[in-house]
Amino acid sequence: MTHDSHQDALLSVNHLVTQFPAKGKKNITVVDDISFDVKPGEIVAIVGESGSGKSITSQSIMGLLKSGGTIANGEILYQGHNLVEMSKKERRKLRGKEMSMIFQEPMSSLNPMLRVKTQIAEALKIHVPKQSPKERMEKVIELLKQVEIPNAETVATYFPHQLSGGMRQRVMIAIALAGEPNLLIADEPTTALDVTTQAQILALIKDLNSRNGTGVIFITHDLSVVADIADRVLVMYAGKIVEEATVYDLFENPQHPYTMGLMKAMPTLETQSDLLDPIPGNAPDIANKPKGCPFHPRCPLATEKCVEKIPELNPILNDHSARCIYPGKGGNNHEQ
Amino acid sequence: MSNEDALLKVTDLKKHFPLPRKKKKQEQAYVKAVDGVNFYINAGETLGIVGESGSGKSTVAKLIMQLLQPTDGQVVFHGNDVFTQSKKDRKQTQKKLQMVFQDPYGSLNPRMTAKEIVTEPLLIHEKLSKKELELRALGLLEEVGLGMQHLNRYPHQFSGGQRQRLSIARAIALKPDLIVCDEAVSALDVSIQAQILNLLKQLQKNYGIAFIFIAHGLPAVKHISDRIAIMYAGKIVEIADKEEIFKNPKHPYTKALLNAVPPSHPRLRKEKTLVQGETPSFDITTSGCPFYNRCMNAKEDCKTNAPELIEHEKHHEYACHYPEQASNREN
Amino acid sequence: MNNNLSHLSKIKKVRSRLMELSTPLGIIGFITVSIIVLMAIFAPWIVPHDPFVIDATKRLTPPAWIDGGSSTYILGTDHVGRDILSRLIYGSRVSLLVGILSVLIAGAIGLFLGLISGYFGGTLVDQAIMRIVDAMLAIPTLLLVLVAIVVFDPGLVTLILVIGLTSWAQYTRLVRGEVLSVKEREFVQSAKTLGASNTHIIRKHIIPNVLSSFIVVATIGIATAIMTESSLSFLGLGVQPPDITWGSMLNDGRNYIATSWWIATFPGLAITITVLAITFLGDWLRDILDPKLKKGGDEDDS
Repeated sequence: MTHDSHQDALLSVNHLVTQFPAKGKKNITVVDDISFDVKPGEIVAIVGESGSGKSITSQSIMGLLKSGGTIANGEILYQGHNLVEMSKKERRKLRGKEMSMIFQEPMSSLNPMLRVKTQIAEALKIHVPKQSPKERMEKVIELLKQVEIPNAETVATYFPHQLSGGMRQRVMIAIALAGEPNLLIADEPTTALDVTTQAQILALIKDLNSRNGTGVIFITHDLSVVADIADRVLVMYAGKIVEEATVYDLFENPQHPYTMGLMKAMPTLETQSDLLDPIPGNAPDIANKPKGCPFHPRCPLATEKCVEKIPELNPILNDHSARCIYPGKGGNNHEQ
Repeated sequence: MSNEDALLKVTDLKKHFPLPRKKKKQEQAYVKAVDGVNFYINAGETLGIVGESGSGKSTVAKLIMQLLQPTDGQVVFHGNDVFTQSKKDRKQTQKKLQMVFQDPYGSLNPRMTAKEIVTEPLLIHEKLSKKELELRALGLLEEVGLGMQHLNRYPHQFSGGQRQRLSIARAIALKPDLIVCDEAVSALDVSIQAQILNLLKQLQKNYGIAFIFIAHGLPAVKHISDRIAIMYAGKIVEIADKEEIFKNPKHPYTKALLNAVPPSHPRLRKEKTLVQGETPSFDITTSGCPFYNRCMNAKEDCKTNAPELIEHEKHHEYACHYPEQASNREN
Repeated sequence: MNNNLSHLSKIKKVRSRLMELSTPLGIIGFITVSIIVLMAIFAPWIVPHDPFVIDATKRLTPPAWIDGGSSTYILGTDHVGRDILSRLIYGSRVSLLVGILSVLIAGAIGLFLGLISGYFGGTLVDQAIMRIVDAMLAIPTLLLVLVAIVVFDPGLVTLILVIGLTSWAQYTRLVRGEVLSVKEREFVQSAKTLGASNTHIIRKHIIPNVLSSFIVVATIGIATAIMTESSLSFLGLGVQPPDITWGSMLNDGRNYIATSWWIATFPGLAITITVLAITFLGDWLRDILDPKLKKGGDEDDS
């Protein structure tokens, strides 16, 4: 693996394995030996379909695993400190101040009984306990302005249900930014939003990233969102990283047949052909993965060799690796 | 509008929901979910309806399917107004007009097997023996890419894509002329979405079924539609042939929508001028253009004088006083 | 067709499912209820003594493991020398009969009215039914039963009818609520667009999806009915002698509780165990009836 750059990485995930208990059976491995780095100020996108393990990766990093999920192996280094070995209390201190998370459904992450300003002030109180109420309110308004909410003073007095979906997501981002974190984890933050609102939120995240130098892990199923926002991309399939590259390399020169398949299956405004080129079949059941390369039952290139064992994540070019024994042979690349 | 012999024609369709009154004497306020919608669809074609949440697109679907009663207006299918037709005509409409719902989890009865699900329409409208039903079920499953081994399974044993195939099999069971697809692929993974889009196209080719394809995702709509209608705040603001609407968007909202679509390649990233704000909530009653407060072209008269949807060019209707100039969408 | 084979495999499948979903409490409930039911059915053949025979010489014999006890009367005898174990076994017949039949009556009424009320939610019919339900729930059941018993002659049939006719309101309310939520699900809308009739929708889509919570609540309702029966019999208003019920046995032991505790204790225990076991069974049924755990067809995933 090409992990010589731990030193300057903001976050470094090494051989992470996350498992969930299954009734009467062996534990289910949902995240299967994942390694990647996030450098300060970088936007890393993790793209994958449902069941790929992308959301569980983010929950592992945040220490927010639910329903009995545990980290079975590996380390998560934040500025050199291993999060996996930290006590719950130590981790809680990091949350919000060093790293924060925003979710897909802002309504369920906000307390419906509290005003917007109270919720943001709560977040501030945790990180800066000694602050006069007046200073704190000024900071709240400043945060709301930072996430480009018009009439910040008025909106601050609203309850969550009085806000539109896009506004709620902005408030969530404001709360996430309260502790001035170095790392922001965004789990499908725009999936539930309208197209025009999505564009606004993406622009906001990009803007915050370039202004404050916040590192971002952006989790999504949508390749076009990746094309818009990411610096580097990890493609996940059935719990494994199948391809890793800079965003330009990935779109110019995809190597793994799954990545290529996704690109061909995605309808775009530029697509001219009459029929799309879907990937046949369905994503594998995570509790019951096929032998060898998990993509082989759906892969046009698969041979018997692919069934034997899971290929390594092999470097192809600089900063570009793919987990395939026939990389780059998926036929013609993405059109145009 | 040209089409007298259209398969389905929607005229001045309105649906206003009453809002709860806060005080006894308060005047009754309404949510104008659908507020004067006109369009037609010809046999064998696909009309895409695009809009954001609150645009009223799903209410239009429900009205066409008679799941709601309109406040005003007509939906004429095969020459009959679906709201006032005779019982005999209604039976015929119910056979020839079908719907595929968005949620592949909620739209199938969890206690019915695949066989029961796809044969339910036949059970209601045709008298068939058990043997014939089984054969038809098998045929329908094969039509949508499922097989014999799936006949006796329950919905929870299928993946999202397979469930949507089941919904489609059920919708085509009575050989309909028109299927209304309400966000039929929005909940699916990308690779599965493409399978379903292709399946719909294939069925259209084989059986000449017309589709009303309602969605918020522009690329998918562009891929499947022949014509596209853009809805905003209960009204259609622009409707045109697919190529025309993408090359030559006239309504500022259409333009904003196109601008907001994320690029398909990082090379196509651009500094875009994004439209500000969000879709207005319904209870704002305005006599002017509903897009007025977000529009960059808006002038004083837009505030008071709502533009009508007019066919300005052949097959290209839009509702705007100050349309975009014919500058192609820069690539 | 190899019908036998498919039947066999079906039984196997059901059995393996029950095993999969087994919880310790569920199993305990299931086994206990089965034993009680078997006991009730075969009572005349399994009782060690005639439960009705009075023998003053054997009166107040304590249970076998206590000084002065006799191994012929394992649980001892009552104040007129009748074998308590035999009487307990016979008593289960009345308890189960009252429990099951009264819930059948209440459930049938409740299901029917609940379906109508829920499916035509908001209409005048719904309003009317719900007001009656409110009224029923506002009157304490026991009081209603007492009045009814006083007016009619006490006895087994009266008891069943009275408990059945006074406890349907809770089922109506439950079923109505379930119907209201199922009705809004997309598959019901989908059936409507097909032109399905109301009876078709209720029969094929509503009832199957309402039935499981109904069955669970009805099961627990049996336990409640048994309690009501016991209370009434204890007060002497329920089943009349010589018919044996646990409630009247309790009553018999009331005066001897200080000296011969066993007369009242064992029927009390029987009631508690039966009610608990039925409740456990009800909870277990909730899991089993979840459609997500249903398997059909073959188990490959293509």
